[in-house]
Amino acid sequence: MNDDPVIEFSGFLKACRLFRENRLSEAEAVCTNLLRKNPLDQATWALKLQCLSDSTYIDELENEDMGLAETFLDQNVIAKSARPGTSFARPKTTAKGVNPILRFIIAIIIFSMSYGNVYRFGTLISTYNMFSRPTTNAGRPLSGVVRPQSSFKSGSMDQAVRTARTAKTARAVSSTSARNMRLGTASMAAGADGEFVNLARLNIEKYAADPQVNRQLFEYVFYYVNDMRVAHQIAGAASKSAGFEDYYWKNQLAKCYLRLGMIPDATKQLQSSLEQRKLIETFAFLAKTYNRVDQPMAALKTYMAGLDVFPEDVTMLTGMARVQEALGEFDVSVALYNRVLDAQANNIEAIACVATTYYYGGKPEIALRYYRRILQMGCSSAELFMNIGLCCLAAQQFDFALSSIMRAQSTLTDDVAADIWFNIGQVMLEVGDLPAASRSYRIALTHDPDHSESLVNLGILRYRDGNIDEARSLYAAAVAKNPLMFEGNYNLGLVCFTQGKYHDCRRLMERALEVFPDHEHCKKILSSIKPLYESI
Amino acid sequence: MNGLMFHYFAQGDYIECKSLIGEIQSKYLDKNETAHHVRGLIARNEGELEEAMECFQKAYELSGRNKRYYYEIGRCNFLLGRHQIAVEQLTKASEVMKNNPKVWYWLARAIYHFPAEKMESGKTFNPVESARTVLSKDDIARDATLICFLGRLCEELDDKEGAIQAYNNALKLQPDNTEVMNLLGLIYLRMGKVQEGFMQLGNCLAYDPSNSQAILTIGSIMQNHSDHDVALNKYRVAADVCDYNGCLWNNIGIGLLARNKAAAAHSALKKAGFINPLNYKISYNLGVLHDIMNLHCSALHYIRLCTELQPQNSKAIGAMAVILSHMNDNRNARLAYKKSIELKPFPSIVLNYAIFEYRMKDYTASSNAVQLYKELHAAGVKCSANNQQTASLLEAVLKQQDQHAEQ
Repeated sequence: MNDDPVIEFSGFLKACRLFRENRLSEAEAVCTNLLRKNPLDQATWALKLQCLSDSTYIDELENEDMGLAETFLDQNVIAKSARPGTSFARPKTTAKGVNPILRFIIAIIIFSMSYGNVYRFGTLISTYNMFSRPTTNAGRPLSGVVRPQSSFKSGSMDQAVRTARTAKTARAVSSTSARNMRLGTASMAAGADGEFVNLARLNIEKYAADPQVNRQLFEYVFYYVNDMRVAHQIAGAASKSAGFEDYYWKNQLAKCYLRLGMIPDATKQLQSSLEQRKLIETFAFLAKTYNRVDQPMAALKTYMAGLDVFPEDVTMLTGMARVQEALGEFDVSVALYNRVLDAQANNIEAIACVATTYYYGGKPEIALRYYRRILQMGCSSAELFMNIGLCCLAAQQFDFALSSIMRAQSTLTDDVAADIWFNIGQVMLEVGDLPAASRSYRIALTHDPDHSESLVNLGILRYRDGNIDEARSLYAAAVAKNPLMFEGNYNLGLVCFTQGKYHDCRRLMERALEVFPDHEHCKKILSSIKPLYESI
Repeated sequence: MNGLMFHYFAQGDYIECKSLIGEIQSKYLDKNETAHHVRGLIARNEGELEEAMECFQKAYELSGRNKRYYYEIGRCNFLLGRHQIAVEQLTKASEVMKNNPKVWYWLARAIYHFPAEKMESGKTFNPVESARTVLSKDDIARDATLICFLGRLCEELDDKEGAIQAYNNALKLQPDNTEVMNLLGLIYLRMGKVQEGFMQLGNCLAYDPSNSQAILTIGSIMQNHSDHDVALNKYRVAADVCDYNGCLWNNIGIGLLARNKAAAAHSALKKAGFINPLNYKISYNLGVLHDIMNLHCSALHYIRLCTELQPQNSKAIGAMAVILSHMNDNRNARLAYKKSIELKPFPSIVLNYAIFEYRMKDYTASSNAVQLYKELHAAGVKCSANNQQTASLLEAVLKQQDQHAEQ
């Protein structure tokens, strides 16, 4: 047996094999050598392009990071004042919140995993507010995972700009710059002898029309160099040379348009691509463009159309579930996530969302089983352990809860530290150790001075100690950091009411009612203030 | 035109009214005092206090410094929380409008919010009391809101008779004011006059069947008389209006427990505990419930939470002792019993302690505890018939033991 000669690949064939085995850097090195010998070898050249672009490949579908500029200076939104339930800006308020004076909100813990090599994907949890779902800092209902999309638009530009910027919270002003540019330059440094293709001197018309190399060239420019203008030029030329009949180039054009923020053009390309060929990717991108212009209903319709062609497709179902969740339709969303799990049992996003729903539905034991499943699949992060700890606590398995929480504490990373400590504070409250609880909140605040939930809860504890002025300033700080927060507004309103500052109280209560329109106590206080204004 | 303006204003048609005021002002070169006044009123109703104050100021200038406008400006300052200024202005206004009870009402309200620690000629200034003197000095009690406020002040000063009288007067003026009925009912209950209180709350429910506060109170009276089924029915209405009320869910939990539905009671109490995490009563109930369900560890957890929130509550510590003895942690159980009796001896806890010591075969401690129980009973502390029976049984058994020992 051993007599068989070991087959040694060499040259282009070796590069191809390495590429197939996903050993990109080795493949690239072989190509570089080959190209040194024969710079005009198109096959090698294309393979090297492919190696480079694969190493920085991002799933464009999930790449939804929007910068401040896109979020708030967005001109694309079609209906400025949409009816409730038809826009992300006005989700249906089905959530029945909670909150008498001592309500403790519960936070959001995000846990993130890396996904591919660039894109961060998160799963969240929030703690332990059963029976009602808290909202995120931006006022969105909390989801089971943290994804860029969850930071859609909410609140005002004013608020976004005012939030204290630290290295952690800084958000790129415009999405086309920060992340993508950073990727570009980082990978550039890897190639020792400067840029591989000199785009400025490249004869784009010639190469774009060549079906042998144009795809590789496009992907290289799009993913690796990140030069949208050139990428668009290549895709346009290629599409033209293919006689406007190639769905691939239409999709690529749409991707360029999306990156460039030209959303109506992207929609047009995708629609015409769908006429030629129905692809999952095309449906998903089309829905994404609708989401970008705040047309969730159209997005849902697109996903439905996609499901007709590709029944039980995970991408479509996940997309629909996300949209429904953003609209506040949690029941529908969870039903969809359950369908996702039927089709793909190891989808972490779906598991986390279903678990969160069970948790807030008052069934922590079942939620625990889902979280354990995530753990079994090999993800472990501080958030996950915290969530498990909270589920155990709610299910009254105290010993296990404490060990999970300690595990979370020892593995926490900076970006979730505030949420973890906030939840530890909640646990301390549950145990009745109030001094330790307020200490935890203070630690949470040192990690993130903007953590408004901690501010409110610390304020409530201060209020309980009779320290009303301190409580007042803590509430005020929380409201300043997060004007959409029900608890902050309500508690500050109560303090104002007892101190006789009726005008402030009225303003705060009105704002609290905007978030939680059916709150009985707010309404009562407002109706008792009204006569103070109106009696003659 | 002024007539039409008042007409619009009274109808609440502020948009019409404002445009009419604009017309009037352009016609009279901004010199119409009444128009300024009405504009100010509208602005105040709409919550634009700064604008309202400007309008009143203008009207004041135009009227040749009529002090009546101090009344309006004072009220704006009051709403803004500037109580000191408000009091000064309202006092000025009261000089000219002595007969108007409203001035005194607003003055009292502003005084009420003065900080209490302010010193005046050596003794502490009590804002509540001075507010009450303002209101009660004249025969100004002709207005329901005013009398209600007076009632509230009396209540805060622990003058229950005065409060009841005030609320009754208010009810004479406004027989359908459910809020007053509620308050009146609560005072009666606090004084132990259950019958009268129940009647008032019943009246209140007759006017407004979904008044959650009245339902809660009535339900708790019913539960005190072990009428859990009716109470639960009542709560169903209340839970519909406001399902984030911790006390309500607590009472529902107890009602369900009384009907032997421990699991349902558990979820109701958990919900209550989630809504009001710092309410010791809910955690006490959760502790007792878990003990009934034989989940002693959880029971201990909740009772501990209760004692952390209320360290001086001897009942909670007594309950903790019972749970500890169920867990066979006798040493700590004894400590807990002793601590509880030291804080405040409750007959039932003393009796439990006696039984505990009897089980531990410490008969002298047991008979001492029975002795203490008898003393408490003799001192007139309420003891249930059940307790009485157990006590006499235990005493008899202990005597037997004594005889055994002697033999």
